[in-house]
Amino acid sequence: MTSKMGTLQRHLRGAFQRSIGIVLSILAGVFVGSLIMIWYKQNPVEIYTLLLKGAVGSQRSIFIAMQRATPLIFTAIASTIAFRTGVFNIGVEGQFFIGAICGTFVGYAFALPTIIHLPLTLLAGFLGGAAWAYFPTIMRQKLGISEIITTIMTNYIATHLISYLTNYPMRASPTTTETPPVQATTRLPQFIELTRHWAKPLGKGTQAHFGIFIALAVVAIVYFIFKRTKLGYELRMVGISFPFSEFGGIHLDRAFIGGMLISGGIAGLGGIVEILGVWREYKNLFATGFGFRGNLASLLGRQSVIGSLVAALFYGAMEAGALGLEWAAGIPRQLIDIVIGLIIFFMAAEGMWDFVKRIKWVRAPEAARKSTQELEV
Amino acid sequence: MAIAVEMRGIRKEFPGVVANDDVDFAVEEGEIHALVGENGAGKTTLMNVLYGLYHAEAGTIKIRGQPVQIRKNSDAISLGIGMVHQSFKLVSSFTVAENITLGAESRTGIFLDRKTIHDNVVEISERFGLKVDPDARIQDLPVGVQQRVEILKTLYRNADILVLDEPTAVLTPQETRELFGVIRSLVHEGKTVVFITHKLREVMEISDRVTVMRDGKMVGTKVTKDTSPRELARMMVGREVLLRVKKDKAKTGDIVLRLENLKVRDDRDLMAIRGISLEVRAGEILGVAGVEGNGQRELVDAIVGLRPVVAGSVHISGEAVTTLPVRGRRETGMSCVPEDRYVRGLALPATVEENLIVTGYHKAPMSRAGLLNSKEISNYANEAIKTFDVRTTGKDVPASTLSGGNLQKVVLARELSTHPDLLIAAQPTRGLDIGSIEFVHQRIVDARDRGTAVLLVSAELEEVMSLSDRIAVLYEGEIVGTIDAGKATEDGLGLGMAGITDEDEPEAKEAGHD
Amino acid sequence: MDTTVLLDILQRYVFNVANLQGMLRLSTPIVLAGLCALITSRAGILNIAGEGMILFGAWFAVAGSYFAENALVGVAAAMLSGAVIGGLFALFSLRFRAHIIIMGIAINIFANAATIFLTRAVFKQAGAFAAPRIQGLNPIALPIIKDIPILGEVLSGYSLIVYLTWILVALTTLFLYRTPWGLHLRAVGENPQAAETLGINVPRIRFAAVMASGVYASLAGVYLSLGHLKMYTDQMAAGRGYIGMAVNTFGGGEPIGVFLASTLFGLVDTIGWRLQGERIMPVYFISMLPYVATLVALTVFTLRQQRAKRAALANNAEEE
Repeated sequence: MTSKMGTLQRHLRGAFQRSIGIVLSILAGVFVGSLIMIWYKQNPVEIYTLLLKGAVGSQRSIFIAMQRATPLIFTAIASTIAFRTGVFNIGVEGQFFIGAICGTFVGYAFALPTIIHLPLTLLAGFLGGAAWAYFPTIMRQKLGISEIITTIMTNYIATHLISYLTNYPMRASPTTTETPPVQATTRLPQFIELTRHWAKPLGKGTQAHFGIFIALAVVAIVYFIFKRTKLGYELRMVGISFPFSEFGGIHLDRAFIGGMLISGGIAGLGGIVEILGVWREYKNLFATGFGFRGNLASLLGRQSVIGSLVAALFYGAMEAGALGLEWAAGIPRQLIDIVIGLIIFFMAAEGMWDFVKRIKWVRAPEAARKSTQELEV
Repeated sequence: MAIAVEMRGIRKEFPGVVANDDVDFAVEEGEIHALVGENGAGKTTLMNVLYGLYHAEAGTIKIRGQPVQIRKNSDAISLGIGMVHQSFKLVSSFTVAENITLGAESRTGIFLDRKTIHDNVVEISERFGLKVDPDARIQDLPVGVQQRVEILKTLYRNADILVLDEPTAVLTPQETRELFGVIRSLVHEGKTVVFITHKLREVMEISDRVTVMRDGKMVGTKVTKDTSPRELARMMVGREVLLRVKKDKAKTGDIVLRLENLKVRDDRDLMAIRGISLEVRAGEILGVAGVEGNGQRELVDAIVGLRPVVAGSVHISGEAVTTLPVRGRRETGMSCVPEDRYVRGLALPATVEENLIVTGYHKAPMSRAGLLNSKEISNYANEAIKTFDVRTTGKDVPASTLSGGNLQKVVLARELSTHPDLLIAAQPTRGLDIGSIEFVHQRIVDARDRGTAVLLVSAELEEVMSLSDRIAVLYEGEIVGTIDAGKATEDGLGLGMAGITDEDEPEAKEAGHD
Repeated sequence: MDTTVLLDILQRYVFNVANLQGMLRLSTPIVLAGLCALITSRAGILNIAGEGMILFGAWFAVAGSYFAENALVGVAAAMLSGAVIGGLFALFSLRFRAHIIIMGIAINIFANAATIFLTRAVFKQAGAFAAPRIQGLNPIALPIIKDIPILGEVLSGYSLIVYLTWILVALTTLFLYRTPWGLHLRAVGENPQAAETLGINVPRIRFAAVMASGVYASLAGVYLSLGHLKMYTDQMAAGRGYIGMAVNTFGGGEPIGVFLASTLFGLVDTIGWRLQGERIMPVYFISMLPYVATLVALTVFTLRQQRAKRAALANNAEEE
């Protein structure tokens, strides 16, 4: 039995091991980014200062970061659930859009009191995303077809399907490619809308909205599901080992398909929340890339629920900073996307920071790890 | 006689384990040298060091008297060392010739010289009397032939020191005899053979000298004809092996497991179980003896509910469960110690606790209304760890940190702590050390004494004979005979396990019934 | 609908020279993207970075051609960029153990941002870049073949990159099945441990495969920017990297299969363009078709494969 002290030390060491890689990755990304900025005849110090200001420098920038992070939290959590169930859900991208369009339809086509209409709209988004995840899931489960290929296909099908819908049956008028606006009863209030008359309004000049609370609630619920429920245990075990779960009596199909549908559903929920909070109507392909960036955020958060939340917030802050930079200094925001990309490369490249583990204090003394293969030898 | 291989002071550590501790090992040229020891004694590790797959932390190696540095396995190959691994390393969509020559192909210009490749393979297979069809694809060949291809791979690379890692584990008795013939002819051709095994009978039959390892250390080397299986066994385990388990006469009760004319297909869609009927009563152990691959796996899978039944039925405690899923069958009081511990029995990355609760998490007291009761769960896990003497630093560490014997204890704890009416134990002691084997045997007998019906499926004849109350012999998917354990002899069972031979078909069958 | 009308429709929209030309043209970048997916998948690597590699290829082709005023320099620059991106991808995912799918997604997002940024930084343009200095790959009339009626029209008159693609399909087949390296590559893809124990350097082969995939993808980019239009547009890969994965799956991992699957995609594309012009049905459904077709084909293939396997097993069973 390890003592309390030993446990604490191990936790500290673990935290250090994890964070040192992240810190070094950020430094490396920032450094390479600086070289690019110098080549672009810009002063990196100035740019990074502006970036930080844009990210967290003011109340406004924090609200922008929050707005950018909101959809990413959904897509990152969606990816994480799939990851933990043993699936790589690249389809988050498509599920996000399908959820958005389904919810939008319910949002404009019906007139109901908020108390019914808003949950119904959110539910439509969830179900839309889940439905879009259904086919790749079934193809993987019944036929063993890699979900990577199939979800890439369903992403494109979603794109074209939605283009059709917004150009034909769902367009607001023959001259537009947008849907009618959702009813006021389903809108998620933006902070500025509620606090406009305050002495110090919140989120002035931003579209940050109450969707962030739904996002945080989803994080809390998913965290609880994984930690405390039968379903969460089943998802985790199925993700770790199919044969073990099957042998133990877990209904594989139910857990696996369930996990993917929840993942797709949360992605779809993210889509409709983005519509209800920011756009209020469906503009064709209003926000591409949230799905893919959610995949990345989930991995950067080491496929843990809380980690995904932190990574999504970080991502959102960087994007807010990039926007601020473009507005303030006319620097293309892609420059910051490049820096983020570099940081992700370095963070994903775990092996690059192996030398850190060779530092004596960091190395765990009784790191007793054996792989299945070694055990069989 | 010249020394072919000399390893001195070899030390190899894995995180948390010293697999080889100051090991000295020498093989003379032209001999068949058996390397024996329990699973986990460090035999394979030592040979992987020789073959350049592992790097030793300390020690020196001499080949034919010359000190050498083996940094990667291509170094070993160029020194004339060849190794046939326990799990074959073949590309199954490639032809025999492509597999044999892979990495050392003849070429004309930048292209493969297919004709020379083909001719070389024919030539080498004829020279050593290892018959293969160079153009056959590996995926279409039986295991025995695949092994032949593996040996040819080493010969093609001019290996004259061959390491065979548990080559008989996957073979039928007949294929084993053929392999021994091949080994003898290889030695006749001037090759040196190191033969890893833990089957003492094989050691006595094939080897010139034998080296015993235990717990990563060298115990000693003997000339085979000057030693006995008894002495070797003592060297392997450090004490006399208890062959018989202490148990009282069975007090049998009602029929718990009943199979009626059961038919099951295997993964290749062949009929693996061809109409089996049997009964196991409460309080008895029915042992199923037989050479592996005669339907054991499919039989167990069909009873547990992991494989569809083609025809016939499975009844547990009078209830027809043929179409029930695994959990439904477990609810009737069935439990199972599976054969592939690391695949089905355990989820190694999961914690010990998570491994323990997989059969019971879904119902009270461990969960209620979809929510897990963490207090109940941790009580249960701690209790199971204590009762089954699982050596672990805690219930929350990954299972992968436990040793093989302790992992099997985790499985036993999970499967037995519910006091099941029926226990299916498939190869329950495979790969365990003697201490763990005794523990497992005792627990199985204890369960029987409490009134559990036990179906024991094992490839170890001694295990079946010492544990069972009755013994059924499985051959090619059929029960060729059932007999009281007291009346069973090794020879009689062996005949049944050997099944039908060409010359005396009826006799062999009767022998099984005997 | 009577037969003449149907024939008329078929001829107008499917089987006419312009359509077949369009099919072969539009299939070219898809074939190259497919080969990019193929060479990695046969080495046991799931490479979804094709999209980003194509983007870089397209950008560097234009840049090379612009600065040297020579299309071939553009091709060389693109190929070099493909090898470098492929090399970095391989370095990070194989050497530094970055998750290969994550790395692929990251490269695609990165390539998107980087090419947009580079266009702004180097050419001071946003969205697209075209200039008279950019030299395109001009159509080449094949001697003899061009004089054959119909066939000449269908087979001749494409730019260098189209012919190069056809040659690459043949060369890749030869490489995979007739050379030792091809044999090694397939062995590494199917059973890396087997290859490793025979002294084959598995990481090196995978590294080379990923670099090669970068070159294939960059050529797809060359076709997009120099083979037809002589301009660079943001996000001009437009999903072809992913379609490449589809045709590789569709084509069973064989170069000729990739080629045939790609022509099918090309045909659907051409028909789509035509029908859009004729305003018969919304183009979106036509654009959707290749993806739906891939899913259907995957399902049918897998089902058929399973059935064939079962039949083969049953056969074996009878022989025993």
